[in-house]
Amino acid sequence: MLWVLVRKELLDNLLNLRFITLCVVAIVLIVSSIVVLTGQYHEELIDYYNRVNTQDAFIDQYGHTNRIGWMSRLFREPSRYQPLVVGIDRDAAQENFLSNPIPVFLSKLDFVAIVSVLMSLVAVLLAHSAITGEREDGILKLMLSSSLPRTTIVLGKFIGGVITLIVPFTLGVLLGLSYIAVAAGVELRSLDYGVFAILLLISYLYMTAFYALGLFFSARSRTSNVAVLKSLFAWVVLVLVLPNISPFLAAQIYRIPSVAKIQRETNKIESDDRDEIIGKRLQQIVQMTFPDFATIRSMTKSDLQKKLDSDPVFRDRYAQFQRAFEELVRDVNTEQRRIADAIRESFENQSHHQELLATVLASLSPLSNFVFAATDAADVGLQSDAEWAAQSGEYDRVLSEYVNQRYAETRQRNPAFDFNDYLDLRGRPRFQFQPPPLAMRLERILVPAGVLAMFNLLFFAGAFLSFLRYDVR
Amino acid sequence: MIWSIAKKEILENIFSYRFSILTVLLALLMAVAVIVGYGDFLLRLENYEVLRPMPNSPNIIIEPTPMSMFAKGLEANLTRLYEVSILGIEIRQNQQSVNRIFSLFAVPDILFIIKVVLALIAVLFSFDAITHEKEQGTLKLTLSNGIRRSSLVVGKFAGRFVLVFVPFTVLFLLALLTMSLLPSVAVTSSFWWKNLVILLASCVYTLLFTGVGLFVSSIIHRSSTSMVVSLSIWLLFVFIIPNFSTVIAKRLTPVPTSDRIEMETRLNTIQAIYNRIQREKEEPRGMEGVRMIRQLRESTTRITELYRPKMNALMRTTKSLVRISPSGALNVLLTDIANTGLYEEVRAKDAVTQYVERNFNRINELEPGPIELFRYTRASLGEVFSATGYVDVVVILFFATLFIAAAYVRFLIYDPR
Amino acid sequence: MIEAIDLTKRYEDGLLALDHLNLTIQPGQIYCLLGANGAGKTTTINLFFDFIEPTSGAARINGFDCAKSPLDAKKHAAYVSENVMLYGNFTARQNLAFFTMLAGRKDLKKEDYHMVMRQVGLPERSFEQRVKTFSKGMRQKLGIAIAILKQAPALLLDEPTAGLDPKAAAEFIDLLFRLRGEGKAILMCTHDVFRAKEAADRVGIMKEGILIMERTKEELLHENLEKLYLKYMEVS
Repeated sequence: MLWVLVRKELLDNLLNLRFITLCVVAIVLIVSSIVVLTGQYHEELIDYYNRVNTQDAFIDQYGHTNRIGWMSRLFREPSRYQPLVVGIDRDAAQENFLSNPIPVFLSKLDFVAIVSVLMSLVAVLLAHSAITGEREDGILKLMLSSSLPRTTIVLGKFIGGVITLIVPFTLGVLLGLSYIAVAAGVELRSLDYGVFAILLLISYLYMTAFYALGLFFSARSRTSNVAVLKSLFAWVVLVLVLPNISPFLAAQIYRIPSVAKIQRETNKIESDDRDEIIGKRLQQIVQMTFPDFATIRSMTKSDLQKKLDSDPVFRDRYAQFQRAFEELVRDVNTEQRRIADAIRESFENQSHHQELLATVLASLSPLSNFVFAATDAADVGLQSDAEWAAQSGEYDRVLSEYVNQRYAETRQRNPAFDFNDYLDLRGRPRFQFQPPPLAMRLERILVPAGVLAMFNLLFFAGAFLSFLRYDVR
Repeated sequence: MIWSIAKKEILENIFSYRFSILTVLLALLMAVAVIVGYGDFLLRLENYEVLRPMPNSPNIIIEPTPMSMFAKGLEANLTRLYEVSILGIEIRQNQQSVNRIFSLFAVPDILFIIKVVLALIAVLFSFDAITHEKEQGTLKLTLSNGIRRSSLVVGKFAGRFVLVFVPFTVLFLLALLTMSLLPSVAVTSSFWWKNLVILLASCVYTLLFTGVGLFVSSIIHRSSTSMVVSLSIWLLFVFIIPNFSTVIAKRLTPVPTSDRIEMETRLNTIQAIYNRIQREKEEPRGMEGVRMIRQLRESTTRITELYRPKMNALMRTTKSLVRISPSGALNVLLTDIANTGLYEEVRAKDAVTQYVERNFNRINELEPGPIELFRYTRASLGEVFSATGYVDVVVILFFATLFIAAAYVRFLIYDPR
Repeated sequence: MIEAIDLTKRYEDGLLALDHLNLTIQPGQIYCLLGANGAGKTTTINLFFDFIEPTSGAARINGFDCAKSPLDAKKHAAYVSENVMLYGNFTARQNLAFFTMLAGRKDLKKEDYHMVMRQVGLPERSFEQRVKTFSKGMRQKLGIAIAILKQAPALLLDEPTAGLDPKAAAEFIDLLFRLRGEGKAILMCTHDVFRAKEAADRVGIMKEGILIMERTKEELLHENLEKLYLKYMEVS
């Protein structure tokens, strides 16, 4: 019996001109945004390889121990899912004086934006008259004069509406995806299919939540005019207001110290203070073990080399001093970094708390949960940084181990070699980011997807209960 | 005659569910925008007080403007601390980059309310202006009374417009008054003038979307269809064109990613330092330090000269594309008036660049002498208008005239059956 | 078959719409309920279909209490409203098929639907036309077709002839006679005295929720129903 109702809903919607128009608009938009963003992805990919090669060539040519961390900064490959999910735009961080301000000014229209704004509106507009419309037309009475339980009717409306919403949407997305795979020549791996499936599923969950919301207001109103106003009111609050105010509210509720102040403080600890401490302690070392320091400072490198070659006692003392000096620099660096890290860590903890608060506040809206889930599934969201930090940190460790080893080897052969001298690092290990596996992505989106499911349940239960008590006259 | 029709429209709607729910929505959003905007402004002000320029300090920071409560735009970027080192101009993170949720969602300022919600309300008030009467059967009755169609359509238009704009004006003035009375908001005459212009712009903008609803209502014969069509136009103007044009503009005018700029600057710096150390080993008493600074300065200048025109070109392209939609034009106009827009961004960066050029040597202690205090005054209303604002005004006026005229002409030949 | 026992409905706003209504309609009988607008006729029908709940008393169809086991009761009753509205974008047959399936009959073929539509007098060319092009008379006929296909023993009609032209109304009454011949119990609410006199086996007149008069067809042979109706409407 349910399927009779579902089929009728489907047919009724499909014969409806407004609905068809909206679907065509949505499909055209989804496909065109995918096409444009794929072009941008290609460009960024080329730029990315270009950068990696430039930096690699630089290290090959100028590599030295002292600034190896600064030299080999790791780049993040542009996300493969950028044609669908732009996510946290790193240009919006505006780290550079020359950064492009447009992402802060206006957001981009990607698949996520289309689903979150456009498809939710379509869902609400489709659902708002599902019950009131039939009451106004007088069909509801005829339908209820049959021996059909109201439960079946409301379920049939929900399922039928959801299918009408999902089928054309899925067609549009598949069209866009096939463009990515075929026309744009992006080679798809099994992980990609998994991510696309997740994106589709959470889009479904998101749209059904709004369909249930529209149905709820339809079951709570006498006329479609009132139902649409109530639905749009809720839509504006859930889509346009709640997510947007959440970070601002969080910043008001949970205050954190000024970033600029923290940065100044840590900068001072790590450079000015450090230099001062090193200078003082160097004086002590020089006085105690290496009085010739003043003389060698005025020598050229070749003169020093000559003296080292000719005077083995000096050579030993020089090596000893150098070791002591390096130890000192290392110790002071470690100590100063520890102090600065403690400050940074406490600050990061605080900002993390603020972000968490903002996330929780935003989670009151289905839109935020959808955005969180979509961006995290595509590994461009709030949780993507942790995995990146882990892997790039590990690489930094491996690289510095390799560099230290190479340095020690070279020093063995040539004691005058110091950490500002060119070091051949062509055999260094290279970085390759391993994208988080599907299981990890699923784990990340568990909470937002769960909350989306809760919204579905809540709105549908509301619609269900209201319809059971709906006055059909 | 027009007035009695407008009066009927107002009386018919003022006690309606629609009027109350939409006015409540508007009031709620305005209150939220004022509270959130003020809190946000205070945070920036606090930051500014900590970092403000002192005599002989090379701190470059722009004072936050209270106009950011109306249109936040790029204010968070503009009011960051710029620092000068031998490497050139460096930017300290802005307070909001700490919380990444800021970059996921839009800003709920008054501009957002006007651009999105006011337009939505105007559309929701006018989409059924004609279709409803037709469905109800009162259209024939009204037209049977020897009334001119032109009076009818103008009256309807005026009535619906008043229903939307009067509550908005009241709320806007209330918000304005509240903000002007808040502590730490410095109220100058330009504050009032700018807000007057914002109010005027929202007036034309409301007229525009009332026109959209009325026009759709006069070409489509069922209210439910008319609503969907009007909402689609709203969606197109407010979201689709402006947000899609940023993507397309970037395809048309490619700009380097911030990663590339960062890398080039960084590698240049390392190379300069490396060269200096290597040379000093050969010649410890040379002028290598000065040479290095000169080399760094040159490379920074080169990168700036290479990339800033590209960024400016991107901004121009984006602006032109965004202006295909009146909502995009409004966005540009209001942020520019509030001194938080793209115009101000270019202007401020020019000022910073020039200041650094004048003081670079003294800040880096390459030559003796006092460091000039960084001062920056934001663009005046007149400057904004003559430089860029007039285009936006023309665009909005054009769309408003277009839709209103179309609705008027269409209704004159409307089939009331 | 169709029974009302002390059926009373008082709305939330205090209006007493129906006051202790008692009536019984046997199979093969047409009962016409007459009354002005607001007399309680539609309320009566609404109570039989559980659209609203009774304040006291009971409405029964085929012995099933309409408030306590509405689904069973509704299984045995078919409904035709004053203004049959159907899915405008569906054809006549699609509408018919949908509502018949809701009534639980799924074994019907295209020809069965066509036959019923022919039976109620819809023109052949309209069978596969969209309902939004239909006139009111055609929609009412389609409504009856839906009711017929439900094969329920009770038929409740709410002003089915309102707004029909005389020819269509006469055809409609003929259809009712045929259904009566098949042994259905029919309750028809109307304010059309002429149709009531022509069709009814029994007539009741309602005023302000009270059934103030009841006559059988035989009794009416000796009385003028119109005068009777006007008389009862005047006295208060």
